[in-house]
Amino acid sequence: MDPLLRAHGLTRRFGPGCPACLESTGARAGTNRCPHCGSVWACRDVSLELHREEALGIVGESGSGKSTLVRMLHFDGEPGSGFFELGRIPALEGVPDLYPEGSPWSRNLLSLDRFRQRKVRDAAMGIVYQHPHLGLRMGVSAGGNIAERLLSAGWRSIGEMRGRAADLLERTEIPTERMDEPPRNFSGGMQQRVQIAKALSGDPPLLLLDEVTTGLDLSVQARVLDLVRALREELRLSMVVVSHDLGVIRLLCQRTLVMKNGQVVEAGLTDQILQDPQHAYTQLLVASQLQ
Amino acid sequence: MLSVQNLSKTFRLHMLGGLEVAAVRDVSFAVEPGEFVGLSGPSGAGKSTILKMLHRTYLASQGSIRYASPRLGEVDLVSLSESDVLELRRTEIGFVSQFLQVIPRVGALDLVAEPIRHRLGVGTDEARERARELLLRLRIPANLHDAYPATFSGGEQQRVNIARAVGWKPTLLLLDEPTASLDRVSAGIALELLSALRDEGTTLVGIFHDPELLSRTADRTIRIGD
Repeated sequence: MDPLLRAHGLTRRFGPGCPACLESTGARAGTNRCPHCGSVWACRDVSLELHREEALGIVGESGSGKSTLVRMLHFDGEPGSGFFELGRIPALEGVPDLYPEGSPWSRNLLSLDRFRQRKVRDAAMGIVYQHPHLGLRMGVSAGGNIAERLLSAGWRSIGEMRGRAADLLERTEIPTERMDEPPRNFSGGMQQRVQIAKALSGDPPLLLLDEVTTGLDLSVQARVLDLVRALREELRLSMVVVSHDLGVIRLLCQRTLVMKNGQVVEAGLTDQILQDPQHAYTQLLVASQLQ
Repeated sequence: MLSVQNLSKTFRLHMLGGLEVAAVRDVSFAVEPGEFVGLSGPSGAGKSTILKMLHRTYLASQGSIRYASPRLGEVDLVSLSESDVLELRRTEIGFVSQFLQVIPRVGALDLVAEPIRHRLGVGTDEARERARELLLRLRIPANLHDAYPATFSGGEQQRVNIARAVGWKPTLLLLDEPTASLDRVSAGIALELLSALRDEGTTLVGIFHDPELLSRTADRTIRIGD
């Protein structure tokens, strides 16, 4: 499998930073907040690689930086520092001056202007958040939410957009007769499925899932996971899956990163992480699982 | 096909103050292409740990595992990149344990058909047909084929597991007590299937709970832990 995405040195810091930060934060220090200057290192010097049609899991407790990491990849919020490049994707060939002549990799996406970052995001990525209100406009109809996304991807015909929205909602098991209702009328599981439909509307090769099943009832969780698995196979998606639930990671991901206090403490094949964890924190995490 | 040299594994248990447990010490052996080799030795000798290192589910502490991959050439499974290990698991190396690796809410037939379809590039109908034959041969009645194996008995789960492992004809198949809770008849059928796989060119390395069963089927036995 060819690599699709590679990143290194991803860092997002809130606060001024000081010379003591490096020593005083991270997994070894047991905190991501520097006691000297008060800066928070939400994500520090993270490297990762994702191959095509592969799913990479990111696990860790809350505050470990896993959501920050996936949001950096989605250009959400404050820009951080580091290198983030995508391999050649047909959908991105139209973005001006993205790939240096003859290079299989894009320029560093973190140093692109906002306009081109948006283009890259719309064409190459979809994201599903734990909280549906981050990914959906709750007062706008389900179909309208999808149309909005299609508009920004350059679609113009209302009929075609409705057709595409109906198709996506059907695939995500939302009855199409409810496409004109706003998501706030829907149950939590349905809202997640509308989010998935919206995330996939631009046919992105990369899907980012940020704790998508957290807080859902078990049977609803199962349905969302089954849907993700089916869509991944059908659409040949590559995925980054953030979850604190090792069961979700085991089900979906071939490789996994373990994060703590903003740093990656262990990376490996998912079955190796679960059966032969090396780092003290990973051992604790695996041992804490309900059987 | 496989050359294991000075392989060792020590587990370090951080929750027990960094206690070190030596599970495998300095093991070396070689396996020829097309051989069916059994690992034997007392329980606790590290047989299962060795198999898991061959599959990279466990990281080796020391030593090397040279594997002659038709696709990648000669590689060391101890240090091979993760993406290459995944590639080999997809195309060449299978692992079957005594526990069914269920995918929730996937029926038995689809569970067995999936690797046949993906790894051999066979169409859905044909893959399901081959899966059906395998399950029937392993005495899983047709009325159970669409049921979820999570609800099956231990013996039935093991038979589904074996069907899933042999269906796609891997180059190297690792077997960790795949017949542990099967009755003699079912275990006999499973071993027939494994022998047939060997006759088609698959190399097999396995642990079997029943030494007699092992000596009847395997070409050779390697003692671990002496």
